[in-house]
Amino acid sequence: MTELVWKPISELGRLIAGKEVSPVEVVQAYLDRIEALDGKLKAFITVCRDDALAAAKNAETAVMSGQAVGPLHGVPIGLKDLFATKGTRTTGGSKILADWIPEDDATVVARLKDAGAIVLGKLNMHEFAYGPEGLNAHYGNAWNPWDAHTHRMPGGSSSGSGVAVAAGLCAAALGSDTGGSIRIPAALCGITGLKPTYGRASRAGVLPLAWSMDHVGPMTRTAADAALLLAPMSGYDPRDPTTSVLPVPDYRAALTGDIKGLRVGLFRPFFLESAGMVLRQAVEGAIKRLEEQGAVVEQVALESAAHVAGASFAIVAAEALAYHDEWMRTRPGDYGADVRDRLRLGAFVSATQYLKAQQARQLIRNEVDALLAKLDVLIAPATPIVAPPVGQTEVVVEGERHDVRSSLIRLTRPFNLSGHPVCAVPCGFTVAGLPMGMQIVGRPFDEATVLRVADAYQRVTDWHTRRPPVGQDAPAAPSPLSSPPRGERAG
Amino acid sequence: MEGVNAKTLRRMAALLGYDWSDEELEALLPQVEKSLEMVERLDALALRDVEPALQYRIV
Repeated sequence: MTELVWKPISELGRLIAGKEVSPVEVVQAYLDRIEALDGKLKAFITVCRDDALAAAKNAETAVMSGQAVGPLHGVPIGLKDLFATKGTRTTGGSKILADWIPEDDATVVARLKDAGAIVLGKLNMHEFAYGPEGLNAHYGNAWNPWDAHTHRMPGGSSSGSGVAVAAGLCAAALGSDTGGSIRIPAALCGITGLKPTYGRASRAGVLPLAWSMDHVGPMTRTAADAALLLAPMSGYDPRDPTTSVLPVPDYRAALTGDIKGLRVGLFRPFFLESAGMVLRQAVEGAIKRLEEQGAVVEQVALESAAHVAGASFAIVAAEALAYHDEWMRTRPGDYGADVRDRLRLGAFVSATQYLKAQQARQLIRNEVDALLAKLDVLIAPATPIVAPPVGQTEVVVEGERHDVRSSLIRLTRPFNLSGHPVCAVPCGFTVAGLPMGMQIVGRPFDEATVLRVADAYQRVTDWHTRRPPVGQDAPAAPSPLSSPPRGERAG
Repeated sequence: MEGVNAKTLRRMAALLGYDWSDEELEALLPQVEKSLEMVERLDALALRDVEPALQYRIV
């Protein structure tokens, strides 16, 4: 396998712009790796081989003719299969949309293409993004690449995005995050995942789970790569009325490596205290590294944390059922059983309860804002557990039994309610080789500081540089819905 | 949560026009009870003077 697939985007872009590597060579390297590994990993629902190679050829022509190109020119990316792609099917991980071919790209997809990125394919996900396990009955369960022998959850709902980036099947991916769906797979797959501020990046053309909680963002191997993707993704979009008119800063320029004097709050109650011992030690170790770099750390608490689950449930369940109402009446049998049941729960949330949840949300947001009035960033584990085996429904943490699903979303969803930007970065590995992640939370629209801290941490650690133990000896298994239209290959 | 049983769920589902079987609703009942208990705990918050985050635009 070529080393090209492991290059950071900044280096890849430089090699392409400098004519040292052709975009065609880069795309082909990723396609070869997908061909070799994705039969087992099932990161892709649709591989856009022909379109990607054609785009690479055009990118090569542009470089060779001396056109000015940006840092994403010729860089292959994957898209969670809920980002609309013009002319390429967009399934939402569902049977219901198995043959839907959009007429337009989602805004962020169009913007990344304009910046030179090449779409390799559409990535696996929990059906309609409604599940943190990242499993999919229709297209097969993606395989967490950090355990070659036991089929472990990649985390979701952006499971294919996490797997593809971790396994070197694309240089970067896009995910969406309603309760942690970027940060959970980032943590479980050992990569970097950024949930920007609500309103920073357009959701137009992205299948919704819950309109007021959905965020879209980049999933990459490094914070520096996330900064490169976030810039073109950001900014006002008339197609998404919730996008902000605030100017988009130069995120790359913010990556100074300097965090001396930075004020950091460590969430201990509810967050650190609910994590297993090894995870706690990993986050505490990360805190020490930040202190060694000059950050000033204090311990903080989110008093309203106990109400996050209730508020989050009421909002997501009600909004999700509202979106799915017609299909739930006409095609209920086409949903996976788990997603159908979750959608049904929304029928039992009253309007009063929904509004109380939105009131509670305001309190939670106010509390996070108050903490960030005196601190620059807040730190918490991304998940209280590492990747469980597929099929496991309960975990034991510090002697207490917990539901896997609730555990996975416990520490991420407070910031979907609050809307604050959060970057999840790898902060260690268990003895068994499973990655662990932590969250860096910042002020609204201050992704620059969040990325600066993440990048500074990655400059003094090597967790993000590790590669999972996946090889070419993986057995392939067929997926029930793996015959895409337009001659494209399903993985 | 008090007062929620399969019959209640059936009535609520019917009001919304969903044709869900008794077996489906019975199976759903434990999840509904657990979820609504979480939501009921929001009543412990002082929400009277808090405007809901309906127009959710930070800037």
